[in-house]
Amino acid sequence: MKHDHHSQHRKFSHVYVEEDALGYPDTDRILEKFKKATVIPIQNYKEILNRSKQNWRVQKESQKLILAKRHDEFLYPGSDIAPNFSHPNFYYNALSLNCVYNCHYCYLQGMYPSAHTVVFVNHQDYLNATDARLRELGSMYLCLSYDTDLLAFEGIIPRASEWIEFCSTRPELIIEIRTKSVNIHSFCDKEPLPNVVFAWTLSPQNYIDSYEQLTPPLKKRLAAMKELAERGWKVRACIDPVLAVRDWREEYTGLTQSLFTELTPEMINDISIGTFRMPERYFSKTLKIRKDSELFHLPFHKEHGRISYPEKRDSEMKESVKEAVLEQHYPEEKVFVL
Amino acid sequence: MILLTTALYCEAKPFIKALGLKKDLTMRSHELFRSEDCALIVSGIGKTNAAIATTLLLHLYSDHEHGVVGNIGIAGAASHEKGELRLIHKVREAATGTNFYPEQLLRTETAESSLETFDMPVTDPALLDQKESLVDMEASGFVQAASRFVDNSRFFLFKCVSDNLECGVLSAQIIESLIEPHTDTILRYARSLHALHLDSQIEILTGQEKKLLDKVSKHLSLTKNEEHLLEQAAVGHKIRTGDITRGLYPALKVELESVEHAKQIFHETRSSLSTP
Ligand code: SF4
Repeated sequence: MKHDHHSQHRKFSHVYVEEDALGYPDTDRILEKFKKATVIPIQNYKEILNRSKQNWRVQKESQKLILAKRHDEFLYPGSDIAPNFSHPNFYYNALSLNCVYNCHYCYLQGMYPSAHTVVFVNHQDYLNATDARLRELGSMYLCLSYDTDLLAFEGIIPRASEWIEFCSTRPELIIEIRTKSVNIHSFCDKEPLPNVVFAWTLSPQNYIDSYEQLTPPLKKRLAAMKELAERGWKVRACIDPVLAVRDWREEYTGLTQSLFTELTPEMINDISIGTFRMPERYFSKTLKIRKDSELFHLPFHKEHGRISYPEKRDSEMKESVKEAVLEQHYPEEKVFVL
Repeated sequence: MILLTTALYCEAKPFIKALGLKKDLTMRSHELFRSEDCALIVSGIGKTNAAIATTLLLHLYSDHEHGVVGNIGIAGAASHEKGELRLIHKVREAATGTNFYPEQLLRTETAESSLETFDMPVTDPALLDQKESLVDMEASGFVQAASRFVDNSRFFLFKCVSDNLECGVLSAQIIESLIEPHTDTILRYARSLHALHLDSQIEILTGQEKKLLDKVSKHLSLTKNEEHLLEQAAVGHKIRTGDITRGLYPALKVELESVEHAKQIFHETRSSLSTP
């Protein structure tokens, strides 16, 4: 008998398609991209996403795609864990669930029982809901798709481009596209918009290697930031989450130096600094998945259902990173410590 | 551990032969065949029987954390060639309309298919939810039982097309001859899935380190909860520093004077292991 082992399926070898998602142009577009994938009809995306007893880590090695229709909750009010940049009408949406990257500290591991990625194909419903809320509120600050890295998905479905288009006629809407991706080519030749902020999450390269698997290296993220900033787009640097692991002080000082070697202070719209934090209910689930990661074997502090570093360590880290930023002659009023 | 379930003995026979399984004569309720690293149970026809046998098998091997379990058998199909083997990616229980989706992790040459489990033999293709589905009488029972015990990446179903929904009964010999050519393919898949789960196991402490922890726990007469807390601290320490021996040995050297003293040493050891 042969004992050679089968290899694992590549990413998105299977596409689960909700009955309700059939007939949407986005469904056809995506299926066209994954011509070789096995397509499995499903009734509801939760049949896959919320199955009991799923093995997150093995799923992540062979992630599947789920195409679904969202029926409600096209907008969520911002949570206190996410930064609002002093905007009163702070919202976020969930255009996709789960991410193609694999960061140890990602709260999505605790949030969803599955590692498979959901894309909602009824995009127009999101746009309509945003328009309706805009009419009510007059203005809005919207974080696009917090529960994924949208730009990393741009090659599969160009959501960021579609939102930029949407924003071009709605100056009262500010959108933030938070990313680690360097997928920027489709915006390079577009006219920059003042109400679009590209926000790059930056980490020291040693930590990217250890804790942010599959994400682009720091150098490339900085190059992408620079490219868009030079073309007139607003870019934000998010040094978040700051991690309390070996040599953190030197590592983050090195990171700020790299940032200001690549970009001038004028190129950076603002900088946000935040330390590791996670809702307690996600933390315990994430710990089960990441029990071999150093990040989850550090001293922590639990308060109001939220896990973070002990207060003294936490403020010491924030202060230290802020200082490193200010040392580069970056204006203090543009630094947001979360 | 590779665990298999079939409805009929003639479906099981090629695997019993290929794996050199021996009948367990102590088992009275079912035909059970075993070797050191594989076991196969014959469930009888129908989803309830499949669920009972799967439950029994997984209960017997409940300590084999990384085992995989498969359901193998014949199935009808309106539109497939007789003798074709299919790996099942969706099981629909016709009576309830409930769907189950076994995780698809491995690349295989075997084509995939959906399958519908009915309570009675089906001869009318119009009864199918999807016309290309296979039809059987066990799969939904197997999946429901298996998913109670193991995560859904650890069970799989292979079905061999035996008829095109015609009425009639196949002889045991014919059924065996339909399954037999696929034995190697199915077992290779099962072994690969098993290997994948073994590889994905996260073992932080070595066997020796676990023994050392055990020694310390005994020395300090720890409760189960304290043992757990000490192990957690040791795991964290190992990840951060790569070593737990230096943190644990001092506890073993202490000559304990009282229960309170043991508790104090426990707290000190735990706290020194927890400090980064
Ligand atoms: S990029 Fe963001 S969403 Fe994606 S895995 Fe990392 S932390 Fe999670």
